[in-house]
Amino acid sequence: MTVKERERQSTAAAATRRAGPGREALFAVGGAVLAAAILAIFGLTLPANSYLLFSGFLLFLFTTQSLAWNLVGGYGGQTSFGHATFYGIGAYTTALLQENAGLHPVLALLAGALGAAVFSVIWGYPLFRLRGFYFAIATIGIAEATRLVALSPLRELTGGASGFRMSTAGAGGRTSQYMTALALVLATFLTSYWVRNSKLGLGLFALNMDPEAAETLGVDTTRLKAISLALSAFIVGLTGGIYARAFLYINPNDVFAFSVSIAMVLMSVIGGVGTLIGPILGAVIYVVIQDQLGAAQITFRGQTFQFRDVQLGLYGLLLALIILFEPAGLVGLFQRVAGRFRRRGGTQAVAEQQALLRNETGDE
Amino acid sequence: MDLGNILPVTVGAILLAGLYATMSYGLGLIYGVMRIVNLSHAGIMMLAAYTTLMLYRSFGIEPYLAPVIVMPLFFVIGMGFQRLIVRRITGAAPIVSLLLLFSVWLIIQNAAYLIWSGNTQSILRPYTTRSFRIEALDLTIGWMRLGVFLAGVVTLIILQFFLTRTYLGKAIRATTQDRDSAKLVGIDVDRISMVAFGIGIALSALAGALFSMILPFNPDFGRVLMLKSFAVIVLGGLTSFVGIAVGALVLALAEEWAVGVFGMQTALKDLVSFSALVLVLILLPNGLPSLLGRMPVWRTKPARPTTAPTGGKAA
Amino acid sequence: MKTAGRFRRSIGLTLLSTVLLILSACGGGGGLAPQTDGGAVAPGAPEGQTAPPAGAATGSSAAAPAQGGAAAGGECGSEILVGASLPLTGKEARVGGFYRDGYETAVKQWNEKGGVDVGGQKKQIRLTLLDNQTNPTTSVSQFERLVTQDGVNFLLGSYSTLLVSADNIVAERYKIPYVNGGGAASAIYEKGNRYLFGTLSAVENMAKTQMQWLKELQDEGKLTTKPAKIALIWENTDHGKDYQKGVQDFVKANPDRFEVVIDESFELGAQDFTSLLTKVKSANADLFMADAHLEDFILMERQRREQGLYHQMVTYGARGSEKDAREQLGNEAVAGIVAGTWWNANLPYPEVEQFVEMWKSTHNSDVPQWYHAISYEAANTLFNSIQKAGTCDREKVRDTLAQYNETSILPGNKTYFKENGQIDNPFVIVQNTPEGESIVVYPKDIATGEAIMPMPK
Repeated sequence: MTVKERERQSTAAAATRRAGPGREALFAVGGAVLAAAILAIFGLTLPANSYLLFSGFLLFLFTTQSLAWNLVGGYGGQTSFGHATFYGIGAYTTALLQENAGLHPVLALLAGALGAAVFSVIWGYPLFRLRGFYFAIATIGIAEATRLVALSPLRELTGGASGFRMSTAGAGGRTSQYMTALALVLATFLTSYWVRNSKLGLGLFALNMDPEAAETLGVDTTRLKAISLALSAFIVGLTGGIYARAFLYINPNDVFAFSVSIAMVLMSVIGGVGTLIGPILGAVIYVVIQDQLGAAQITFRGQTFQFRDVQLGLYGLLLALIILFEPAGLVGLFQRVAGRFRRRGGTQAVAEQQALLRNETGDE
Repeated sequence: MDLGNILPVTVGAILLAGLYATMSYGLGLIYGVMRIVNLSHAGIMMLAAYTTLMLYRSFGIEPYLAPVIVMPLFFVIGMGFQRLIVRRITGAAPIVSLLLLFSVWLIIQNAAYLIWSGNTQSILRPYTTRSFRIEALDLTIGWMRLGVFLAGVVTLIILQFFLTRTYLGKAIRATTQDRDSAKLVGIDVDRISMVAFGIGIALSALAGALFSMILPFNPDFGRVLMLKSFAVIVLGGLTSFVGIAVGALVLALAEEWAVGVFGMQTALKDLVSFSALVLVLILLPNGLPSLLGRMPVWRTKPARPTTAPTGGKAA
Repeated sequence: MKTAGRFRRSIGLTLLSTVLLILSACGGGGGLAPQTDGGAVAPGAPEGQTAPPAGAATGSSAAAPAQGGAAAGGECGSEILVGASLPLTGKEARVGGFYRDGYETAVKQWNEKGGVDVGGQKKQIRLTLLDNQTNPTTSVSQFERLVTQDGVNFLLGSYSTLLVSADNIVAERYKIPYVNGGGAASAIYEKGNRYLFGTLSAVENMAKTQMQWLKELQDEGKLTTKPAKIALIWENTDHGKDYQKGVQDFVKANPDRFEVVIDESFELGAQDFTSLLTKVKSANADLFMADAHLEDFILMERQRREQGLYHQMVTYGARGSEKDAREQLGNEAVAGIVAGTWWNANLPYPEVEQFVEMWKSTHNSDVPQWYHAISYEAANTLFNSIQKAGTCDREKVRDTLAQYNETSILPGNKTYFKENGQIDNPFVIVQNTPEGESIVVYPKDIATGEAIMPMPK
């Protein structure tokens, strides 16, 4: 059977499965409730330790980004390596409006997010004509170009390479930052859940599976892509603004960095791209690696191995293994394991989900 | 605007074009045959640069001779890698191959940090900074830059010959044009892909080995160069080596003229290639050749990004 | 075929699970929860910590408050807890390592002397060093952790202006003295920070010192062109911006002496400077004044030579006199290059001689570089101030730092801070000799040799 046929079949299978209230939907609802519960407990019992408060804040911020990237990169299948532009624009717009124009912090945040969304439309529309690689590569170009523009021609505004420092006065405490980020991550999760089950989500899925077919069926693909990208940009812009307010110092080389975009991609893919829970899982893993393992080391036969020396390679290895063996990410892995325990045939759902994400190598 | 600089800047740009072309052939070949963007390109170049350095430091092999060893070595590595790993994802969605090769880059980079540390290295030989003068034109040209340029030209000639005169080359071209039809006429597409991937990696390695004599490098080497390679192959219309050479020339001229003649700040130089990358993708999906019309060497049916099969259906 | 596929897949899954296991195992070591006690970190990060010789493993728990560092303002237990986060991996790893050496050497030296005398009681110093991977977000988060979780009493700063700019805000937030040796850009000190002190003079000063030296050379008749035409090339970073400003300000004040004929910035990590150097050539400059990192310095200087450009003086800011530059370009190629540095091992002060001896005896007879001296002096200044204040009270130590004025190994033989917290030392101008040495040529009173000016063709 050719890959094409296979793909049709899996599309059909996915479509039927989506139509009915299958296990997939049950899982999603269950997961949503569980995640919401966990997050709510986090919120109700504020960590006593102020560092945990800060770690939690960062975790929520990363999780939000990961979820937001997944809206367009996962559901829509538009791999963007340029989300740092939204982060940077959100951060700078918020900081500048609050600092130089004296705008109310909340309004400044919203303005920053709107700015990011508008920017997404500006580069999104022309770029959506491109597919696959072309889109991905073009987003790298956009992101790097934006960084350079922020660095040199806009030096007066952004502080250039010296960065932009906000005044300490009026910066919220760690508790309020934590609560803001918590609220944002919950809202983003609900958004993600809603998108997944709305007409928008269905359209995105269709588009992801077969753009031509989706168009023939009357789906306005460009509009769908633009909406999902703008939504994603809005949320990432918010995280940029919140970051600026918490860190009080931003620099084009930091907030517009390629590594910011890459982090969002990594989190989503490691956790499970296109799934609801995956991006959360990916963000948790990412933050744990980033934050907690910096000092870890293993002593083996008298030789000491610093974890930080192999961290980059481990990300790479994890990513490679996931791509080769478990395209549905850690979520897929867990589902598979759970399926094994339940009954022998339980892996079918996973297999279908995988088929959604990539076509298996044809063994002709 | 400084017209007095036109001649030296143009000559510099032509030499730079040789460098850009050399580093883009491998990327272009792999894309053409497999519809995969090799995101580990920078890592391969870096690894080849360090191999050259090691060959020189440990065995005293002159760096300019290093490609003789480096290219076959990387050809074999590339084939093995294709056979074991990349083949598994043929025909998958673009993100899959992008991320897989990106992860390879991360791993190579990390290994290099472990082995060679992050210190900047450069290869220093009596000939690496030597140059000659053309008094009549008031021009000074570095021998190494000229060497890389010539290597780029020679590589292009050999590649053109290989693609048009040998069975393997013709098979590669056929596969580039249409994978399914190639299969129909009895070409072993799997094997062709493997060989092409090997050649592609060997070409990236050639670039790395040559650059090690001009540019300082560290494990993070090649990030910007890789982005410029993307711009070059996109400008060149993605599937032809002559196109790549033309793309390299146009990009190098645009960059150097913008700075040297039109007085743009050097800091904004990279903006030229990033914008070129995006604008050409949007406005000229088939690259510059579509502007020039069908060139005689341009026998392949160019891939159209807008309607070309996405990776998912290239198989 | 199917079985083979399943087999391969299970291998993959096994590998995947192994990586995850490794990750979680490491997580246990450096873990999230059990670190309120400074002494308990040992299995997680012994390498990063300079533990005192003996017996102090548990003593610090009393001093480590779980809740917000500010509450702990005045107290330190049997040890003084000092925290720092440095870029030990990533882009700045190399220099980050130098700073670790400097900090650790200072701590070791003080501890071997018995510790810091805090109001009649000798206390050992315990340094907790974390690696921020040259990432500002991680850096800030680690300083936050040092303050709120590890409960450190004082902070030593990071390296590179980007990181210092980002994480000194944590120090301000929790009102903890933060002494750094790695932030040179004046912009960091412009924001009215109260707890920020730095032993790295502004890059602007470097430019001014160089210009002053050139002006004196003109007076002596060694530099004949007036006004001398300057090609000003700077990397587009805070470092480069400060350099450019320093030169431009000086030139504006001395229009009869100097003229900037080309003022150009470039982005880090370029592959080709042909067009830039062509501009320099057609501008016909006498002096080539650039500010660059090592990579760009190597490439630009190579191409400058390749192009056969001649300038009466060539400088790359602080670059060119250090070991790396000589190794990567060769003694001959860097001969004659002038550099302005923050410190030099040939400074004719007894303190410097002692320091160099001490350093050589503990570091396989390596001669310390300026990074080592500046970071050593940052740590030294902090410990001295604690001793002088006679208390761990952060406000009092801050006030002592603000008043600090002591003999030291730095140029000018003194360490003191301006009102904004940054040191205001002169720079040392050195020139490379063809033999692979670098001699101090300015200021005159500490010069160890005569400058060869103009550069031989």
